[in-house]
Amino acid sequence: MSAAAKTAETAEIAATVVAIRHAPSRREELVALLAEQSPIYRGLSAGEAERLRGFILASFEKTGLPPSALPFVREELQTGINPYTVAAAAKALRRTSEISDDIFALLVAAAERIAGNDDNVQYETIDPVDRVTRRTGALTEIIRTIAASGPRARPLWAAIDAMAARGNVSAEGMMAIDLARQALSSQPNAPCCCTAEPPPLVLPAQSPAARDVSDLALEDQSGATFKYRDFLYGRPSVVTFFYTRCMNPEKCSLTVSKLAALQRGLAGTELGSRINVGAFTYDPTYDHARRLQIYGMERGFRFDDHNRFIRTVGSFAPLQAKFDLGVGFGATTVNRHSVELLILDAEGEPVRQFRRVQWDETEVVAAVREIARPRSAPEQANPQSAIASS
Amino acid sequence: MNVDDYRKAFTAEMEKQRQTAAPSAPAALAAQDKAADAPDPLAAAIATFRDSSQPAGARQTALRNVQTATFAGPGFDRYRSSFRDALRAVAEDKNEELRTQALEMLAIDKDEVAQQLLLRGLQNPGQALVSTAKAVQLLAHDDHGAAVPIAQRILKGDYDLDAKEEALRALASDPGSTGLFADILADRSQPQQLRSLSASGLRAVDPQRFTQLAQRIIADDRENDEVRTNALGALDHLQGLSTKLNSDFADKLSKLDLTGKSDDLRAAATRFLQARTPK
Repeated sequence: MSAAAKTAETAEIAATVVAIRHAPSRREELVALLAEQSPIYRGLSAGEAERLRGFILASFEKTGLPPSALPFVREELQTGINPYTVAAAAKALRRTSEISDDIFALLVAAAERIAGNDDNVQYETIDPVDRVTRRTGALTEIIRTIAASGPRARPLWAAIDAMAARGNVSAEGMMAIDLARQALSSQPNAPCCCTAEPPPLVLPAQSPAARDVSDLALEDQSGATFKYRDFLYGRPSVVTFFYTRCMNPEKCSLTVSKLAALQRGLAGTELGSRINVGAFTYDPTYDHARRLQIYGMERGFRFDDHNRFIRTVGSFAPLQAKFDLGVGFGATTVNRHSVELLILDAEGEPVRQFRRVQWDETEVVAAVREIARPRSAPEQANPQSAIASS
Repeated sequence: MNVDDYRKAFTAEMEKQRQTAAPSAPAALAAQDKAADAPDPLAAAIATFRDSSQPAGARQTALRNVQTATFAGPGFDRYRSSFRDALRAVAEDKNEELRTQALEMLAIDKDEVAQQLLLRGLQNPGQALVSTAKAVQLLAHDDHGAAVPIAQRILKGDYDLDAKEEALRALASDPGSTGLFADILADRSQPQQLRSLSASGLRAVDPQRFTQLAQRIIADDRENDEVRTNALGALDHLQGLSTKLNSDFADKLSKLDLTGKSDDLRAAATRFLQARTPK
């Protein structure tokens, strides 16, 4: 598709999004558009994909945020580095009746992260070159959501106080911070639903097990080639996904560093010798064996026959389809991806998944321990019944 | 001295120089006077840089001052969004030098506004803010952007040599361009510069294919001397080339008749052979 055709298609999608802003009953349609693998992102540059995603996220300020969109908002606040998209995620929370303390903490962390890379943003039109619409600082947008979230205990917003003390934000941002400090320190009206857990992510309707990739050709960081079943059958596995060209330090680099830490943690237990640990690259054409090896080694990962970084020898599409991976591709490489960790059983099928969150090592170890334990007969007969997501 | 200390010392020194420096021109003085009402010097400098009614010299001076301040790290954070906006505005300025500088700074930052402006210029030459070659060079700062398909289109189309050279540089790390590099490198009708750049590109993305093609070219007396020299140099520095292949090729190379060939080619052949002569 030519650049002009892509621009026209994006403009058409944006028009639909604007229409949904005036028809809140259709807001679930917007949630469906947030999956990175959605065709609307195909062929877009990373910048274009971020813009379209931010434009959609910001729409929830108008329609209200459905529970199914909350995991996407959380993920953006936790790992996003693009001011436009992070501010959009913050705006999406504006009409939420109550913001839990953990989401509040994500907002504060996002404000701190964006403060050093602030940008002026607008969500009325999708055109980045729009000169007419008034813009606001991305940081200001995040702070406004913080202010709108209601009074909090002071330790929760110490970072906002610190930002005010440093004074290294724009005049507009400082005004928003002052207002936020007033709002946060006023008397609370009612106890907050501080322990509210986000709802589980809606899983794809199609069973991942429906896709057979047992013969998929793979290559590891040493250049050894093998089939999916050769590595992933026979024992449970922890697998995650990354690519070496990832620009977001909160995603691939952190994921692989955490995987190495997880590996070290498991090495000291009986589980260490009973499972596989693997990381698949989203970008197999670019990430050849040597690149995989260097990327893993630099982040402390130790390789052996059961601990590998892997690329598909051919297309990545079969693996993406099998696990319904949250990744989109531009003209040459990944344009956007989610954070994903799966626990596979001894037949290489997913039994537990951690998506759109920076997973907690303790939780993963507990899940692996549960999966590696001896199974009862009914469980063995129907392993898919155990699929859960976090 | 650690980085923070160095930054502080550098910022203090620049501030001292700024306060003691004489204005370079009356126009610059006028600009500074006009900006004196602004709340602080850096905000005034950004405003001056952005203001197309100001003399170009004053705007250049203002830009230099702001660039210096960006080095201060977090101290510059509160100006970052307004400076970015100023750069985006100047990216469409009538002054070519300022316009290009603004686009360069934004492109390095992978700024989407700059990328869109450059893309629009490539699609519609009437809206072009810089030459095609420059646009491709700037877009190539973002390896998650649109540079690769555009570069591939330029190499297949009717564009000037500068544009095609930049297009090949933009493709330098793209594994999907292996065939394109090989085709250009093997094609004797292509300009020498393009063939040499293709040799570098092919070496980076597919060393094995490069090795085969380069050996054929180097051994071919009908080939352009410069292309042979560059291919030999690239082969000489290729990591991971097997010793056997090296010695086989060195043997062939030693039998080549380089009489009448360029000094550079002979020197490259001598270097290659000497590096592989047992001591």
